[in-house]
Amino acid sequence: MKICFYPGCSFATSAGYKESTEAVCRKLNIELNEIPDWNCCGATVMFGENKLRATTLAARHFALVQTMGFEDLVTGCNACYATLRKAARLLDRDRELFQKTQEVLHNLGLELDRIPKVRHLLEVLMEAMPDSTSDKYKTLSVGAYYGCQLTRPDQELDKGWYPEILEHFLARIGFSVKEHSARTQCCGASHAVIYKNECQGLSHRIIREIANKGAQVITTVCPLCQFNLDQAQTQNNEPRLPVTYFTQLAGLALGLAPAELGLNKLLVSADKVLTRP
Amino acid sequence: MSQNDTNPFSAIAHLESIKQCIQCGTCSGSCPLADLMDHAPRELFALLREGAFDEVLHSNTPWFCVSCYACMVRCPREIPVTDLMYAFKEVITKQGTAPKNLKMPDMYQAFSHNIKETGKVTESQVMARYGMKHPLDALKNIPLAIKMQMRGRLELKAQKVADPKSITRLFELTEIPKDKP
Amino acid sequence: MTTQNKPKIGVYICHCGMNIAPKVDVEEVARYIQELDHVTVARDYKFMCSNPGQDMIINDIKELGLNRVVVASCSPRMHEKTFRNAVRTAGLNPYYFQMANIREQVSWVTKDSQEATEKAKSMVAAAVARVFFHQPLDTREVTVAKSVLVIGGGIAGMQAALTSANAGYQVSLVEREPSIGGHMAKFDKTFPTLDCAACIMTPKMVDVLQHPGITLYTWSEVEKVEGFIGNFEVTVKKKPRYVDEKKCTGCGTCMQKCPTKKILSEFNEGLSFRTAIYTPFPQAVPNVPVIDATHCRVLGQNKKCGVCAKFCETKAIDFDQKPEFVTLKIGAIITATGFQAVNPTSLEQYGYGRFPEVYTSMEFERLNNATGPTSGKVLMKNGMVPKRVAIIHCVGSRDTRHKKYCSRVCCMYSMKFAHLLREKTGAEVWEFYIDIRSPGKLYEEFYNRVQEEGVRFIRGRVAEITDMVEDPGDEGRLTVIAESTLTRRTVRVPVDMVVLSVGLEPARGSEDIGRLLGLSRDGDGWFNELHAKLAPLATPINGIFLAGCCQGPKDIPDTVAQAMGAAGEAIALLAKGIVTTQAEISRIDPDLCSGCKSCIESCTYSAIRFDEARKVAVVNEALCMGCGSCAAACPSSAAGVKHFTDKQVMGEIEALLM
Ligand SMILES: Cc1cc2nc3c(=O)[nH]c(=O)nc-3n(C[C@H](O)[C@H](O)[C@H](O)COP(=O)(O)OP(=O)(O)OC[C@H]3O[C@@H](n4cnc5c(N)ncnc54)[C@H](O)[C@@H]3O)c2cc1C
Ligand code: SF4
Ligand code: SF4
Ligand code: SF4
Ligand code: SF4
Repeated sequence: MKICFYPGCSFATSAGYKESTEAVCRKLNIELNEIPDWNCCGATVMFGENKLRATTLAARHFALVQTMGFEDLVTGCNACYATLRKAARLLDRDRELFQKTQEVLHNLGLELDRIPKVRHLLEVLMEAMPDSTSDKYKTLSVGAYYGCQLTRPDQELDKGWYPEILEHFLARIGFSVKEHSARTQCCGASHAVIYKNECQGLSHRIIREIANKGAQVITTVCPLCQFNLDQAQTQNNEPRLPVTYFTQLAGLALGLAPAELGLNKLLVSADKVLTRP
Repeated sequence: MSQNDTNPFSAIAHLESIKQCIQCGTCSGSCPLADLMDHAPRELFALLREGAFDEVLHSNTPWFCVSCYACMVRCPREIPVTDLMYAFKEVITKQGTAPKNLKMPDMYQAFSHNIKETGKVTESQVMARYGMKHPLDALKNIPLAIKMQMRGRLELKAQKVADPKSITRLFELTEIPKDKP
Repeated sequence: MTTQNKPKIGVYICHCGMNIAPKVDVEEVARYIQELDHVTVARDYKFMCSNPGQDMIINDIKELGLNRVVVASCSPRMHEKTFRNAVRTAGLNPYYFQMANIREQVSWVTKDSQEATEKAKSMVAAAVARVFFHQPLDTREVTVAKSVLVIGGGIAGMQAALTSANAGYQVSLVEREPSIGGHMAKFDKTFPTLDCAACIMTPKMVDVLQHPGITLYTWSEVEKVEGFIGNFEVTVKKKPRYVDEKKCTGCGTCMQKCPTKKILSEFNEGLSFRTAIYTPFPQAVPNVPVIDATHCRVLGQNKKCGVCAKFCETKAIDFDQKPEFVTLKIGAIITATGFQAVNPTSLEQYGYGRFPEVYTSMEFERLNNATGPTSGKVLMKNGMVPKRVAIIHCVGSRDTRHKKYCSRVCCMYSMKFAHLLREKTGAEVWEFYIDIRSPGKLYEEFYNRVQEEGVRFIRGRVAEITDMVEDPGDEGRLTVIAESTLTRRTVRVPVDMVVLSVGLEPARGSEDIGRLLGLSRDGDGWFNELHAKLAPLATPINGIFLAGCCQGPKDIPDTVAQAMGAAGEAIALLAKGIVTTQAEISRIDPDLCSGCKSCIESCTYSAIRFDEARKVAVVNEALCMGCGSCAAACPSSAAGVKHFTDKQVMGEIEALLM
C-alpha cells in the first residue's frame, strides 16, 4: 500500500510517533510518501486570523497531493486532520473561496483542481493491521484517548462523543481494553502551554478517569494530546500512566522492540508496564 | 442582524444562524474552558442579538475556544458555534479590539509569525517570540524544555520549507486591507 | 338549463376584510374583468362569503340571467362549498361556478401591491376562461353502513369506541397488542390532578370489553381497507394467540407454570421479566394470555414442553392456531394509533444504555407504578433509594438533529415525577429545563406547587452526564453538567439517578397504516388533519377521522376530547344514513377506449373494472375519487376527469399565460 503522508509540525519531535509510524509501516509494507516541502496547516490559529489564508495554507497541500498523483492525504495529527478537513469542507461548499484559493496558489506556481480526501493514520492501520495471534499483551490494559478533533465535528469515523473504533482496534490487535468516559474530553490543547494552571486540571481529569477505570497505559492518536497528557504528569504525584501512541502499541503487537518504536522518549516511562511478566 | 450597518460582524457567513438560538446553554455547558470565558458562547450570541457589539468585540470568549467542537455537535439548533468563534476572532483581530491583558492573541501572533517566516512551526521559536511579551510564562516552561531536551525532543533550530519566501508571499496575497469598507 | 345559451358570467372580487383589498386593488381588478368577453357583471365586495355577499350573487343570477359565476377570494378549501350552495339556491347547477384564490396565492404572498393586482387580474381572467367551458354535473347519494372501525386501543381509541357505541352504532376496535390500554395503562398517577391512572382506566377498559356494541379485536391488525366513505370493506388479521379466547378463563396457571421465564417484559419497559405465555399486565383486557411464538419452546425452538397445555384445565391452549381474517363492513374509521417514546440512545452524551441509573421517562413510569417491577418503590438497580435525582427535559425534542418540535407533555410529566419523587423518597430533585411549558388548565398551578415542594429548577439544557468522578465522595454517582443560564455558571451536580424526559414520535408502523388508509403524514410523521382549525379531526379521506396522539403530541385531556369529537364526527356521518358522492370523477369514453387496461392498473381505489362483453373499461362511480391517475395513464385519451377536461384546464392555462 502507498499513502501520501502529511506529518505536520509536531510529528518529528513527538515522543516516538515518527519512529513507531515508520517502523510499523515498514513492517506492514506501507509506503509513506511524505508530501515534499509541506508547510504548517495553520492549526487552530489561522482560521481565527484570516479564513482565506487558513484555507490556502491547507490547500497548498491539496495541490501538492494532486501533483503527486494521490487521491487521499493521510495525517497522524488530530489538529492537522481537523484543519485540513475544515479547509476541504469550506472549499467544497464555497465556490468563491475556492476560486480565490486557486488564484493565490496559481500565483505561487501551484494548481488546484480537486480536493483530496483527508484521512487519519488510524484509518490506514485499522485496515492494514492483522488480527493478533499472541497472548503477549492480553494482560496489558489500555485506555484509549481520542482527543476532541478526530470524531468531531464530522462524526464520520465514529460517534462524536463516545466513539468505539479505537477500542475495537486495540482489542483486535491483542490488548486488553478498559472502557472509560474521557475518550473525547478536551485536554486543553494549545491553551495548555500558556494557561498551564487552568488547563492542567483538564488533563488530570482525563488521566484520573482512565486510571480509575483500571488502565495501566493510555494510548493516543495525536501528538498534541500525547504531549499534554504526558507532560501534565511531570508535576503531579497522582497515578502515573505512560501515554503512548497507537502506532507504538501496533508496533509492539507486530513484535517490534520498544526502542525501535521510540518508547524511550515518553516523559512518563512505559518500561515498567511493558516489562511486567 | 445584517440589516444593521453598525454590526462589525455582519459579513460572517452563518451569522444569521444565531437567530435560531434558543439560549439553551448546551454550548456553554459543554465548553471545557467556559469558566475562563467572560461570556461563553450562549451569552455571546445573546449579546450579538441585542446589538451589544462592543461587548463582543472586547470579549475574551472566542480566544479561549480550543476548537473541541463539543458545543457544535450538540447544539439543538445545529448552529456552527465553533466556526463562529473562529470568525469572531478574525473580526476582532482585524478591528484590533482583543483584550489587552489577554495572552492568547499574542500566542496566536507568535505562531502566525513563525509560519509566515518559515512556513512551519517550531515550538521553541514560537515560545521565544511569545516570551518577549510574557517572559514569566516562557520561564515556567523551561523545566519541561529541559526534560524534552534530555529525550532528544527539543528542536531549537527552525524547521523550514524549502522556499520560505513563497509562504511569506502567500501571506501577502491573502492579506485583507485593514481599514473597513 | 341554460347550457345552450350564450355564457353570461358574473364575477365577484372579495376584499376579505383587510386580507386582500389593501394589497390588491380590487376595484381595478373588477374594472379590468368587466371588459372581458362574456362577462356580464363584475363587482367587488367586502365579504363575499357573508349573507349579503351571497345574496348579491343570487340576485344577479335571477335578475341579470347569469349562467356562470366566478368568485375571486380565498382558497376553495375554505368556501367553495358556500358559493356552490349559493349558485344552487339561485337555480343554477353548482358546477357552473369557479373560484380564483387571490388571498393565499396572491395577497398573502406578494410584496408589491401593483404586482399583486396584476397577478390577481390574470388569475381571475383564467377562472373566467375556465368557467366558460364548465358543464353541469350531478352528485349521487349512497347509503352508509352504520358501523365504526377504531384502530388503536389506547385511551383515544377506547373513548372513541365507547362514545360511538353509546350512540347505538356497531364498533370494531382493533388493537395490535394483547391488551387495550395503550400508554396510559402504564402510568401510576396523571398530571395535573394526580389522579390514579388505574382507577380511571381499568373501569373504562372493562366497559369496552363488556359493551354489547363493541367487538374487540386485540392481538390484531388491519390488513386491508377498500371501498369509500360509508362503505369501507376492512380486513382484520387476528394474529394467532395460541390460546382459545372462548375457552380461557384467565386463571393464569399457564403463566405460573411456563418454564421460559427470562424474557424482558415490554410492558415494564424491560425492567422485569415475563414468561413465554403471558398477559402484559394483571389487569389486561381481555384477560386472555398470548404465547410469544419466538420464545416459546414448542413454537419457537422446536423443543418438547407443552407445560401450559398440560396444566390448562379448560384445554384452551392450541398450538395449531393460524392467523384468522375477518372482513367488516364499515361506515366510518377512527384512527387512534398513538405515539411511542423517542429512544435516547443516539443522544450519546446522556449515556442511556451505558449508565444503569439513566432511565427514560417510560421506564420511570413503571418504576413508580404500584404494579411495576419494584411494586412502586423508586429504587436504584442496587436496591437503594436515590438521594438525589436529576430530571432532564427536552431529550430528543426541540432539537433539529432529532425531533424539531416540542413534545408538549414532557414538561408536565417531568414535574409529576418531581412531585412523586419528593413525596415517595424525599430525594432532592433537580430539574434541568429550557423553558417550562405548562399551558393548560391547572398546569401552571401544578408548576407552582412543585416549586413549593422544594424542587430545584435549573434553566439550562444538560450538556452531558458522566460517571467521571470529581470528588472521591461521589464514587458510583453520575454527574450532570449544564450551564445554569440564569446565573451563567457551569453546574456539576452529582446524582444517584437520572430520568430522561424523552419526546414523543409517531407509533411504529404509522407509515403502513397511513398507506392502507390513504392518509398523508406531516414532515414529522404525524397524520395530517384536513384543516388545522376548521377540520382538526377529519382527514383528506372522507369518512376517516383522527383521535389522540397519532395526530400530534398531546396530553390525556386533549386526547379524550379529541376522541369524543372524532366519534361525534363519525356519528354525524352515520346518523344521516346517506352520503353524497362527488361529481368530479372519471369518465371513460367507450368509443375511444381501446381496452388496454392501463387505467385499471393505475387506479389506487380499484374503481375501474373491465367489461368483457364490450371490451372496454368502466368506472365505478361510487369508488372513484377523481384522482385522475387513469386520465394520465390512458394512451387513447378515453379516460378523463369530469370538471377537469382538457378544454377547461387548457382554457385556464392559456388565459393565465396571456
Ligand atoms: C412518560 C409519559 C407520561 C405521561 N403522563 C401523562 C399524564 O400524567 N397526564 C396526561 O394527561 N398525559 C400524560 N402523558 C401523555 C399521554 O400518554 C397521552 O396523552 C395518551 O397516552 C395518548 O393516548 P393515545 O390513545 O392517543 O395513544 P397511545 O396511548 O399510544 O395508544 C395507542 C394505541 O394504539 C395501538 N396501536 C398503534 N399502532 C397500531 C396499529 N397499527 N394497529 C393497531 N393498534 C395500534 C397501540 O398499541 C396503543 O395501544 C404522558 C406521556 C408520557 C410519554
Ligand atoms: S447550544 Fe445552540 S441553541 Fe443552545 S445556547 Fe448554544 S448556540 Fe444557542
Ligand atoms: S469548540 Fe470552543 S466554544 Fe465550543 S465547547 Fe469547545 S472550546 Fe468551547
Ligand atoms: S409450551 Fe411455550 S408457552 Fe407453554 S409453557 Fe412451554 S414454553 Fe411456555
Ligand atoms: S414539553 Fe417541555 S420538556 Fe417537552 S419538549 Fe416541550 S419544552 Fe421540552
